[in-house]
Amino acid sequence: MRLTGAALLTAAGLLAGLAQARALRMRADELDGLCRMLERMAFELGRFRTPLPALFAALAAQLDGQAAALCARAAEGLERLGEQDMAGIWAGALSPLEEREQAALLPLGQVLGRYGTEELLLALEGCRADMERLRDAARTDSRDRGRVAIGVSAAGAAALAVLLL
Amino acid sequence: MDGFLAAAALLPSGLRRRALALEETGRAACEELRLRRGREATALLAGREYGLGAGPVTESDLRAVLEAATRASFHAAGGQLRRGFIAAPGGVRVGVCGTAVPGGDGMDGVREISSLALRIPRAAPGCADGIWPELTAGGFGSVLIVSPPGAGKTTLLRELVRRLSSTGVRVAAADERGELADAWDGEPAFDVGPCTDVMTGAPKAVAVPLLLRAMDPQVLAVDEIGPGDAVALLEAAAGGVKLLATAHGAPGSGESPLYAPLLRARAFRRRIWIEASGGVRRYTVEDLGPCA
Repeated sequence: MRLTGAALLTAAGLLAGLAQARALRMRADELDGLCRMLERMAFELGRFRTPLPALFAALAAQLDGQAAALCARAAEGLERLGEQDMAGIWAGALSPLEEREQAALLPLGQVLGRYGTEELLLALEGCRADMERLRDAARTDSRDRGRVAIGVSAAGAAALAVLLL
Repeated sequence: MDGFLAAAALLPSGLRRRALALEETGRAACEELRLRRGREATALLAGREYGLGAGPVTESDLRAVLEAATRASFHAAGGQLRRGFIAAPGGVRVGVCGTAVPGGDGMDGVREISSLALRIPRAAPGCADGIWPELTAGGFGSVLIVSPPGAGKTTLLRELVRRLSSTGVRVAAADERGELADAWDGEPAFDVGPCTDVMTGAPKAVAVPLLLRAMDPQVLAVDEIGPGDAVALLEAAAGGVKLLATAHGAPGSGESPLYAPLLRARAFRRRIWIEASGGVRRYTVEDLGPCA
């Protein structure tokens, strides 16, 4: 019975570590999704000059996770254009994101809808560089802290189990 | 929507408040709202500009207008900018000046925007009442409307289209600039009559043959003809279709090369000269003799 309890305690610790590692990996994946969104925006705007309402509606349907939700919020916000300007609509669409992601994407709102393709692509490039930095940091974090989280949680639980035995 | 309100709706809030502070008579007479970077925004009334009383127009103000006029898609307006203006909701035409971006078709867009002119569309039902008997004496014949810019060519053309269409005549309109019918989502915002078919956005040289083939019109309406449109219009006239066209020009300035080939080919039965002075328009109908 004691051995079973110890095994369960160790397994619980391991699972907690794995969950933490998964959360770190998911954050890196979400940031990667936002990078891909910016890449798709640059492609569509540069190649086809797609109007923003159509662009956001299409990306909301084609992308996943946070990126899709962001595009859906932007598409919905564009229905209020006139009552609110594009910069405000974009800022509103970004609001559920984390502060650092918001800060990386916010400058795009000053250019979207108001400037020509050249300026848009330049702004997208800047945002993408910032977002890629965040993603790379999240990936490194996920790799390093993820392993540590699993190891520490499992070892901690095992140590506790030994003590209890 | 009223043309003035449609134009004011494109302005950023501060300027919009100033524009909407104009008295009702001023709004009704306002032909354009003009925004020049670093200068006070103005309203063009009866050929003269009056300040709106706001501070100097900033780049952000100009960009906000373009954002509203293009439904947040200025980057997609290159094709319209090549024609020098953007067709905005409500039939408002936004003329754009700045530094041209050279491109494949001569110009790919405009950056460093310096000024905008928001042209207010006007429907003027009944404006052709005084000349209608003259135009229809002996049967309606092809008509060319000529005036300097801003004198009301499109307004008169729209009214003639509406009147003809209301009598059951099939009219096809090549509305390249979207100013004649202001069709959004397929429905004209202006009353152009029950028997009018509108092709919006296509160059006239492209739209005219399409309309002739597809819609079998009795009258073809085109706004602001240019040197490249004569062949298509002559083909239409040769096929028995009556023409209703407008062109830039002024009395006493001689025959404009814009429409001289059409006059030489006797494509028009009558020419209407419009003279605008102090907000009042005067129409003069000139009989050009029977069409060829």
